[in-house]
Amino acid sequence: MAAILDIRDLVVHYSSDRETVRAVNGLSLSLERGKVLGLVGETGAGKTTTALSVLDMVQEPQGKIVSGTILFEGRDIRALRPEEMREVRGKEIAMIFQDPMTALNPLITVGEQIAETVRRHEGLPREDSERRAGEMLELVGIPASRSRDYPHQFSGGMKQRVVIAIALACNPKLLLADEPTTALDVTIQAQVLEMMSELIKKFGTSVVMITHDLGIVAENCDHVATMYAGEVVEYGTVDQVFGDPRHPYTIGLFGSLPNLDEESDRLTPIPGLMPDPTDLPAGCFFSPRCPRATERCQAERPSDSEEGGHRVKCHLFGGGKEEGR
Amino acid sequence: MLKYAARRVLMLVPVLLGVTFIVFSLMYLTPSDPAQIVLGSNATPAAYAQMRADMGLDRPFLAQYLHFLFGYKHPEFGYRGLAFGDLGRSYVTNRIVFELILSSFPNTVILAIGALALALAVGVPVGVISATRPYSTVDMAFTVLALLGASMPVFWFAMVLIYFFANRLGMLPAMANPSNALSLALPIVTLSMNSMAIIMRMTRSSMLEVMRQDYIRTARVKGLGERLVVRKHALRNALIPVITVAGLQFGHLLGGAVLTEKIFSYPGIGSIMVDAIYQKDTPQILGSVCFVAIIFTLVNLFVDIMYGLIDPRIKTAVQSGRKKAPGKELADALKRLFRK
Repeated sequence: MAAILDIRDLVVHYSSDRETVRAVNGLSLSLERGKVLGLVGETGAGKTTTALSVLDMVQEPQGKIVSGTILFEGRDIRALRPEEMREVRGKEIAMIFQDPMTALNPLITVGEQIAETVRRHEGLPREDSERRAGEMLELVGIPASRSRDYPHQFSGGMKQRVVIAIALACNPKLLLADEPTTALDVTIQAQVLEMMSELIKKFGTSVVMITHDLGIVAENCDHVATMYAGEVVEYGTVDQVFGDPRHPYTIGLFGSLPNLDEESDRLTPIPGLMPDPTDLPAGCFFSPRCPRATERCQAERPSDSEEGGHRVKCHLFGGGKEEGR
Repeated sequence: MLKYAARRVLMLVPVLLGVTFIVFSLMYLTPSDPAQIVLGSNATPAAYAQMRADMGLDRPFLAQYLHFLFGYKHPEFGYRGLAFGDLGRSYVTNRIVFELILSSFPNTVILAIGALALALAVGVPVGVISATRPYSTVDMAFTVLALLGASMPVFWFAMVLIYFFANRLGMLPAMANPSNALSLALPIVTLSMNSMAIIMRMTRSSMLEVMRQDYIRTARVKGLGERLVVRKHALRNALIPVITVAGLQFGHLLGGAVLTEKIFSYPGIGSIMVDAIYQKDTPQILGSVCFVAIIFTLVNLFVDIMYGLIDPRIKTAVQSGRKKAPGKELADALKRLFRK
């Protein structure tokens, strides 16, 4: 199947007068049409920056895509002119942000916030766009009659439903969901997530689901990419990565989760902190925290090794054969 | 909403009590003597004492203040007091105090509206332009101009304007009066300069703040053009604090255009106040100050109601009486003060 999204060697920096934050460092990813890719990693791993890069929305002037290609349906996003990019945004690629409390304009009715996207991209007259807004609200489980209400009249979970309605209003081909449920209560999380995955299936939308919740990945995603310090360290199907996690970082992530089947007093967190993105270590970025790091890891950057679509960026897995496992 | 407005109008009472008490005390403490002003300097000591008694000036301080509030009975110098909207007659002109105020106030309103309109018409767009290109040359230039505008003394700026436009170019008259629209140009420009600078800086910082918000990112992600993002999504949000500032400025303009009115010999309430102070005309001073305080409070109330029109969150808060609307810090502070 053809990839709807193909990111190759993406490098994004945020620079100020004093320092350069290396947020994304040679990231490569691809997403097949109609699939859901889970992008997991700690806060600061560059997940959101990656998603913003796809929309060419990395905040300038500090943020800048330094190099790499982003192909959306074979088209190079970075080569598009600003007005062409605006045609893509909202219509072909939509994005859902983490915090629904701040993602909606407080002075505009939710109906209008949905309708304006429709008007922008489908050129519908006002009445039709308002009707569509009502339909979208119904679709996410909010009565259409509430389209004249303002965001402050909705709860957090309902606001996120509105945000989802905005994102899906023009039936985009690709949806970038940036921790869509992190800011919500646990009970609401499940509802919103279920509603979202139903709609995704219904519309056949391809999704990049950014999260640090491995449970969400297991339930909703087809593929997983683990990100660390701005690069993908492990990539594969959910079965591959969850059944046979290879990169020490991925293994560490699973070790930080409570296991209901086994009796254990303590979780095993990954020691240390994410490296300072202004001063990344030489060699493998994970080596300072890696329990299995060798001298080679500290000196030499690992490259990808692949086995049946399961890709790992680690010296332990060089040349396709497993060493020391 | 009505209940809210009524409550706010009621709050005028403590505000006025505070303001008048301060001004009254100040007048009481100044060495001038109204009896002497009325009689002139050649009166005999006996006539002078008689006049003091007639005017009620021989009474203790608090009694005099109560007279001022609730009236003073005397065939010649009596009045019904502030509570009944009557402060008697001016010692100097013998005109009814509030009559003079009411005849001059519309002139001040004309200047104030003109100045505020000019300040908004220039300040808001310039602020937006600055905010959309922060730290650019354009922004820097506007910033310098705004600093100049905010820091230049009014009397000096007025003099410069008069020198150029009236003396050198002869385009505009140096004396202003309300019946000649052209003559209002210089005082309006003078008066608006300060507000313009403040409104511009406020718009800029408020816009910068709003442009960083998540909902602006949402709007951009929808594919909306930058113009629409700025006009529809950012500007309205950014205007909320600007309205507060504009409202406060308007209050100041209505009450405090003293310098400008004086320089352009304009018959507004500021001129009246200054003249009254020169002449130690106590009733006229107190009357003008009270009037200005009332206007200032009402303008603030109006601004708070305006919020409801622009921000739906405040409308519901005000209607249900749950939350305080912003921008009434003064009234609140006074309220707290009087509770203690």
